[in-house]
Amino acid sequence: MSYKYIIIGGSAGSFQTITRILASLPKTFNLPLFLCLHRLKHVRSGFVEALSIKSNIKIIEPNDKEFIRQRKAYLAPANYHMYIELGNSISLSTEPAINHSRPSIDISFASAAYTYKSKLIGILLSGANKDGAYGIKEVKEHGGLTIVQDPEECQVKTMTSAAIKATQIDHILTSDKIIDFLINLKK
Amino acid sequence: MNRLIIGISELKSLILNIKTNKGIDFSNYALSSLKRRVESFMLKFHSQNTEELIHRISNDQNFYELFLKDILVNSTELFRDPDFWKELKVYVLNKFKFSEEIQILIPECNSGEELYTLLIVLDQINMLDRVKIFLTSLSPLNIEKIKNATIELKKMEVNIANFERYHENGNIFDFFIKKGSVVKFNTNLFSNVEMVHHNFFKDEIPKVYNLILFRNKILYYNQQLKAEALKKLSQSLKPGGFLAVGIKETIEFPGVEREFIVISESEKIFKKQ
Repeated sequence: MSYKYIIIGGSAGSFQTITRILASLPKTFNLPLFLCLHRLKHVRSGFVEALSIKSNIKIIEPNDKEFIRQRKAYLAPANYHMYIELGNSISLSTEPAINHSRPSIDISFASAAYTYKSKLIGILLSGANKDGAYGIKEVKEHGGLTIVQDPEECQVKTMTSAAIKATQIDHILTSDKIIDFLINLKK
Repeated sequence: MNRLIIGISELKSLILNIKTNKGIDFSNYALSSLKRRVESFMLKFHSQNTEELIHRISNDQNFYELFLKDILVNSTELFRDPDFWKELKVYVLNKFKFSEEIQILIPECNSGEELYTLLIVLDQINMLDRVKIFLTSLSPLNIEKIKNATIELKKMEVNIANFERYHENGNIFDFFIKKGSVVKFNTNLFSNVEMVHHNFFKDEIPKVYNLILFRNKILYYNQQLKAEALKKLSQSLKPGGFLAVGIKETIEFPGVEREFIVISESEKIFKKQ
């Protein structure tokens, strides 16, 4: 399989799905994961801890210019945008919110798409605004693989519906199928 | 977000042109975010391609000033990271309670919120009359905006929430007056503040500062410019002076790291040895 990086975006209604994905991936899963999830901007701590409870993968909120390593999940910190840079490092920014969001899924997805091209898988989950639709379109247009959670299963389907409208999504899957897909990637 | 994507080589020719003709060097800015800001600027001003952008920048000084204003990130909040301001007060400002004069530098500053926040903190502990604050920006328009000291009313919700986390039961409107769709900061507090158009990386800075606020600036530099900035910041501080960077920024550089001791790990406050 030629995919080397995975980026996941989500907002309202995605927390449970994310924790299930993280709990289902085996310890041996070594592709770097990027998580861009809408979150309360003034709450700095607690989110990584909550996501980590059942995760087999080490989750960190990177510092600016941190190098990207295997077997790690990088969670966009509160009140910062997270870019994936050429040269395999992360850079953060305090630029204005996009779609009322900082972190913005569009920014993380578009920069990852530009950097990783066809080596990237972009996955968009439940959410209440259209942030992420532009980003997943960028993943598609740079040759990456696009997956959207089935809107019928989403607690809030605004985000996934906007993504499906924005571009030709490769796979529309339930969360169980997304987990199967990721596990089978490494076989 | 609309789509307009420029290539790295186009971005590099733009950077080279500005460096040659305007004397400002963006070569070592963090690439992804710089590229996106250039693209957003081009969309906003209907520039079709970088050649046209370069042409307009070279021939129209006002247009160039607008470009600089947008490219230098000027978004922040009053009392961003309330815990930082609490710790700055306790571990830094209070240490100068009995000093005659405190020199504070806010370099590369593109929006007023850090300055207004600092002035509010100093005013509340009755130290305003003993500070000298020197604020610099590459952009004359941003200096003008900071002096003008207005903030859109719709941005105040987050500012008020931050302030209340800093100062329970405090009222931020002790320092701001509502005027239609904006609020205006009480500019009487500016009496010991000097704001100048200045190139931090090229121009000399006196080595007299007790405190430098440099939060969320390194984010926009690459590793090389970060190292340069840290060196310059360290040189501008007096021994025993303090440096604050953003809570997700680090100062781990050979040579620089050893010059500082950590005052607050979580709020990223350091003291020069």
